[in-house]
This record gives sequence, C-alpha cells and structure tokens, in this order.
Amino acid sequence: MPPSTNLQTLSSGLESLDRILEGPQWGDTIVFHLNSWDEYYPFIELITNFLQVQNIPLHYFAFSEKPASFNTGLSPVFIHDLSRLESLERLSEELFQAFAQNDSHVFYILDNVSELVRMAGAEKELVILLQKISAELTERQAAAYVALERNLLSNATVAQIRDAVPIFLDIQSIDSALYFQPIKVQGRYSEHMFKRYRILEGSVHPESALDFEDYARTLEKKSKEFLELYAQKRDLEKDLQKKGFELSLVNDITSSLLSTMNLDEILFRILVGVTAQEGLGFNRAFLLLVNNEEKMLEGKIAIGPSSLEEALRIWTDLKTRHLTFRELLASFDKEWEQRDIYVNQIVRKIRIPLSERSHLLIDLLAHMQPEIIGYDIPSHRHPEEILRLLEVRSFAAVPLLFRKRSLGLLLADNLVTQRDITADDVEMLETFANYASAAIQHARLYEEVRTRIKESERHIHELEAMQNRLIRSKKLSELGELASKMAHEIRTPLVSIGGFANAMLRSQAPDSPNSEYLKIIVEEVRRLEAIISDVLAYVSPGIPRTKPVDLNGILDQVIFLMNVLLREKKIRVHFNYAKDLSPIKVDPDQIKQVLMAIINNAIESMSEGGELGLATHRHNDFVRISISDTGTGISEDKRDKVFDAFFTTKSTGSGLGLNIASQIITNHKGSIYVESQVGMGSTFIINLPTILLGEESHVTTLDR
Amino acid sequence: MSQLLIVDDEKNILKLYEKEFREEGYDVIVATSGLEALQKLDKNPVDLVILDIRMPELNGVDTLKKIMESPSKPPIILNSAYTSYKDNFLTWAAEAYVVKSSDLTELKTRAKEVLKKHSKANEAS
Repeated sequence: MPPSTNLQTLSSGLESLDRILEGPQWGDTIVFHLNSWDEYYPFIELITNFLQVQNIPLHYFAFSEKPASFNTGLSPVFIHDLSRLESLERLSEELFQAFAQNDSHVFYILDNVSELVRMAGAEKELVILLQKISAELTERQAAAYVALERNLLSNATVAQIRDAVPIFLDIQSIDSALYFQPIKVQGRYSEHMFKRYRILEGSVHPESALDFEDYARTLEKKSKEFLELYAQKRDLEKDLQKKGFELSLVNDITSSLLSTMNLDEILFRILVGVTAQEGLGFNRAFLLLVNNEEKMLEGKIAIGPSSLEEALRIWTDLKTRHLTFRELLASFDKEWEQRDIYVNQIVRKIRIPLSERSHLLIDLLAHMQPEIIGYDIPSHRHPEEILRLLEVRSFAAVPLLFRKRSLGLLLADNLVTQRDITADDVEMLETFANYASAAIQHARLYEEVRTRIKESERHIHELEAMQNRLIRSKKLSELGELASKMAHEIRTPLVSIGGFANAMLRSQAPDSPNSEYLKIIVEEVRRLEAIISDVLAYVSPGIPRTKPVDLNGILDQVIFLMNVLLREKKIRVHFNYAKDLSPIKVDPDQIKQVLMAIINNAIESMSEGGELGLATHRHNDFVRISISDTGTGISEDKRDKVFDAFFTTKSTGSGLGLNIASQIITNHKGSIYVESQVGMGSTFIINLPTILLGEESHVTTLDR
Repeated sequence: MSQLLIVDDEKNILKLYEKEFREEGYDVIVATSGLEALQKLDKNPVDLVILDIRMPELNGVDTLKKIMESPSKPPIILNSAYTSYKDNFLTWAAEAYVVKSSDLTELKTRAKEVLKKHSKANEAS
C-alpha cells in the first residue's frame, strides 16, 4: 500500500473539490455540517470511492445506540455502543487508543458524532473533544472526516466547532439536489464560501454566479428584510401586549361597570379607570355630560389631585392601603366627591349651552372625534379658555358616544407629572370611553325604565283608588237618593201628626195630663223634622243663592229665632258687631243654617248656662264671624273631626249640622275652623270673602 | 174675609190646614188635585192659593203655570215637603215657598204677609 504523505494526492483525485479546498493535508480534521444523512451518504460515497482508489487506509467509526450497519456501503471498523457509553472522556480515551494502534496516514471517518453528543448531553465537551482529536491527528499525520448534524446542535456550538477546526464544509440539499459550500479551509475562511457547488455524479461543479457582491447584496437585502420583520414582530408584540392590557383593563372596568346601575357610581368608576396607575394612568379626569332637557353640556364630576403634594399624598396613601385595581374601582362611597374638592369645583364651572357652536367643548362634542388640545398643538380651535380653567398646557378630549350620539366628553390630563399625552394614550382613552358610554346609557335607560315602572305603579294605584272612590260614591249616591226619598216621605205624615197634636194641645187646659203628652208629641215631631232637614241638606246641599246681605242682621234674626231656647238654658248673649260692615253676597238661608248649627252646638255644650259671644270683623278681603261659648270645649283629638259627617258627642241630633255648615262655607269659598280649650269653651270662626269668586250670575233674589 | 184655596193630594194635610186656617179666620176651600183646583178657581173668587207641588196628574208647578195664565191670577204660596223645587225657576213666580212643617207658624205668617201686600196693591190700583 503506497501511503501518500500528502493529502494533496487525495484532493487531486477529487478534481473540482481539490480546486475548491486547495488540498487538505494529513493532520486535517474536516468537519461536514449537514442536514441529514441523505446529504451525507452521497458525499461520503464520493470520498470513500476516492480513498479506495488511492488505497488510503480508511477507518470508519460509527456511533450508534445499537450496533447497526450504516448505509455507507462501508463496513464500520468501529461501532461504539452508545448505550454503554459512560462519558465523552471515556470515548476520547477509546478513540485515542484506536488512533494509537494505527500508523500515520490513515483516514478516519467519525460518523454520527452529533447524535453521540446529544445522547451524552455534552455539547460543550464536543468542541473540546474535536480540538483533542484534531491535535492528536495532526500529531499522527492522519486525517478525519467528522459529520455533524445541524438539527442536533445549537448554532453557538457549530460556530465554536467551525472556529476550532481547520476545514469546515457546509452541505445542503436544495430541491433534491446536493450542494456544498466550503466555509473554512486550511484554517482560513474561504473565498469560496460564497459560492455553491453542486455534487453531481461523483464530481463537484460550480453551481451559480453566486459571487461575493451578489451574496453581499442578498445579505443586505435579507438583513433589511430581517430588520423589517423584526420591527414588525416588535410592533406586534407591543400591540399584543397593549391589547392584552386593554383587554384586562376593559374587562376589569366593564365587569365593574356592569355590577352597578347607579349612575354616580358608574361615573366614579370611569374616572378611576382613567386615572388609576393600573388603568390609563392619567393624572386627572373630568366628566362632562349632555343635559338634554336644558340643552347644556355640564361638568359632572372629576377626580384627581390639585397639586403635586396632594398627588404624592394620595398615591402614597393608595400604596399603603394596598388596594387592587378592582378594589379601587369598587371603593365608591358617598363622600368621594369631598376628597377631590378642587377638581370638582373646576368641573362644575363648566356649563355651556349646546347652541354655542363655536365653543371648544361644544365643537369637540359635535365633532365626535378624540383630540389632544394644547397651547403647542396647532389647531383651528381656541382652547385658551378651557386650558386656563384646567390650568394645564394640554389635555386629551374624547367624546362619549352611544349609537352615534354624543352623551358627553371625557377630558384627561397629566397636570402633576407633566407627561406628554401620546396618540396611544388617546386611543386607549377612546376604547375606554366607548365602554363608559355604554355603561352610562345603560344606567340611564335602567333609571328611565325604573321611573316608568314606578309611574305605572302609581297610575295603577291611582286608578284603583279612583275606582274605589267611584264605587263608594256610587253607593253613597244611591244611599243618598234612598235617604232623600225616605226623608220626604216621612215629612208629610209628620206634618199631620205634629200639626194635629199642636192643634189638640191648644184646645187642652194647660195643666191637663193630655196637654203634657201632646207637648211631647209636638217636640219629638219637631226633632224628627230637624233631623230630616239635616239629612236632606247633607244629601243635596244646593248651590248658594246669593244676594247682598247684612251679616249683623242675619245674626240678629238667628238669635231672635233661638231666643226662647237660649233663655231656657240660661245663656246670655254678647254682641260685638263691626259697625262699618257693608253687605256681602251670600245665601242668607244657608248662612242662617250655618249659624244655627254652630249656636245649637254652643247651647248644647253649656247645659249649665253660660255666655255666648257673637262678633263680626271686617278685614281687607273677607268678613269674619266669631261665635264663642263658655261650654265644655272640644279636646284636641276631636277638634279636627267636628266638621266630619255623622261625628257627634251627643245622644241626640243627626251629627250632620257642623258638616253641612262646613260644606256651605266651602261653597261660599270661605273657611271655617274652631279654636277650643277643654273646660274653657270653644270659638268657631267663619271667614267669608267679600268678593265671591265664581259667583252664579243667573241668581236673582227671591223675596220670601 | 179672605178666601183661601188649599191644594194637596194628602187628605190629612188638607184636613189639618182647613182646620188651622179656619181658626185663623179665613174662608177655606180645598182641592185634592191640580185640575180640581183650576175648576174651583173658575167658580170661586180666591184671594190666595196654598199649593202642594208633588201631586198626581197635574203637578203643582204646572198648576201654578195655569193659575198664572188665568184671568184672576191670585197670589200663590208653594208648600212642599221638598226644598229642591226652589231650584226650579218656574217656582219663582210664586209669592213664597214654604217647606212643609208640623209647625204652621211660618206658613201662616207668610199667608198673612202676602194677603196684606196684595190687598194694599189692590187698593192702590
């Protein structure tokens, strides 16, 4: 066997490869970098064929989990059973022993090394191993091919190996053709590395005009593309992060917004969302709502500190309280507005008619677009007034839109931190404002529905009450008709009974026993007739038939009629009449009835005698009649009831007298009330207007 | 002596009134219906009519109307158990409206007043 001392001979056999590699030499470790064994076998075949032709001794080391023949057509001289391998160091020892058994100028093929490394889990050690092998083979003037599989090693390890070995070849199959690129040759990076060679039928052919410049251009293009892609990726990541944040924020806030229907609480949560560090992180937020009834844009509420000191205090306070964002959102209480008095004072100053189209805020509202407003931001608008009010250099304004209608505006600024408001901030604020609008609208609708339901309930109650009243009044009117009919029917026979009894009484001697009985009949009949009159007056009191009357005269007439009774009961009467009393328009019959009812009442309260006071007073618009007695008086709990129908403390009478009196005075547009003290007596006071409103014009006087 | 025509469908009332007014010194004729009253009015000179309202066939208000159309046209006092007829303007043609009561004082007083007023008026004419 004529061993060649120079691998020059080896490479010269591989004509084209020789030119590319400029001749590997004994002592070289040649590393193939490849994708798969599909790429490797044709190449190894190329080389082994050559080695055989040259009679160069070849040792084939194949590492495998189980001893098996590799599809190289070569019989492996050494197969190391990986399952029995203890360590990479042990392997190197064994390898070196094998190297030591051979002479120089032996060619080794180390197959499946990367698998070996992977199994041993010792990528880093591989570099050291290869360096050791390389040194050993240089020493022994031998050479080796080492195959590394791309997929099994990290790029960093491959790079380290590439730096460590003198010859590094890259092999790739593209579109089922096999190519190779010499990356490093004789310890130097090859100028051929930018060229691709095709392995075809046992020889190597330059494949394309993939020259350096072209490659550089491609590289530049690729790097540009890469940078673009990288930028896109970064943007997407940022976007994703933002969206993720927005989503969780929105989720937090919407779930919080949905958990209440109280508008104030919703507004509070909106503002917390805008200002909280975990939320949109603005320093201050102001909420303005459209008042549709008054056609105004009104500042509702605001949140935020008035100064840096206050901000620090609040933020420290929040930190020490360890409130989560959700807890913060839910921390609404009635006093919260008191905490941010200053900003709330500011916001309440905002009240602009919707008709003022030129006003910045109204313009923003009509525009329905979010905007950053500031001194330094060019705009056709005139923001000075609002900037002065808010005391900031710039603020963000976002409309609260619901179904293409502006509900109001959300303003936010960074007064304390002076941080610039970015387009991103505004975008977030806008997203947020959409949810806020929906929540506001829902709360309003809820409130409206609730009010409507309440109204409906009230109407139903009213209807029921009305129905009840109707039924009651129908029953009462039927009862009234019946009472009226009965009263009239009874009256006629009473006239006969009482009349004849009276006639008989007159014909009797005053001291005869029949005289007393007849007197009883007469009196009882009179009482029945009085009750009938009361009942009839109650059932149909009649319209006042007014004519100008002298009230003092009427009082005199009543006293004249009741004189007998008053004397009998030992009651003295005092008069205190107003002298300048001009006639007023009343129904004299009805007023007489009123006075008689009151005086009757007074007489009955003075069973042991007493004093009856009659007085009249003239006032601007009315005349007052006062009737006082020194009787038993009326206790406070009964005072309100004396004018009620059928109320009576007596065993006799209809209990209607004072009720009819009250009805008559009401029909005269006057008023009647009683002042009383138990044991001291009562005073009934009647006020009658001097000008009777709604006076019946058809009334003529009928002199009876 | 003044002649009264008392009209009422209630015989007991008529009996009472007849007795009471006779005792007051009046010449009294009675009628139990509106139609009878009109007939008696034709045949007798009457100075005052005391007229019930609720009567079958011709009621008091219609009777009053007829009497007012008659040539003699005597003054009338309406005398009813009802107060509600006061609201009917047809009753305003009567000289007085007295609600029926077992105490005949008011009715008697009114009769006296009306007769006095009319005799004065007649003397004047």
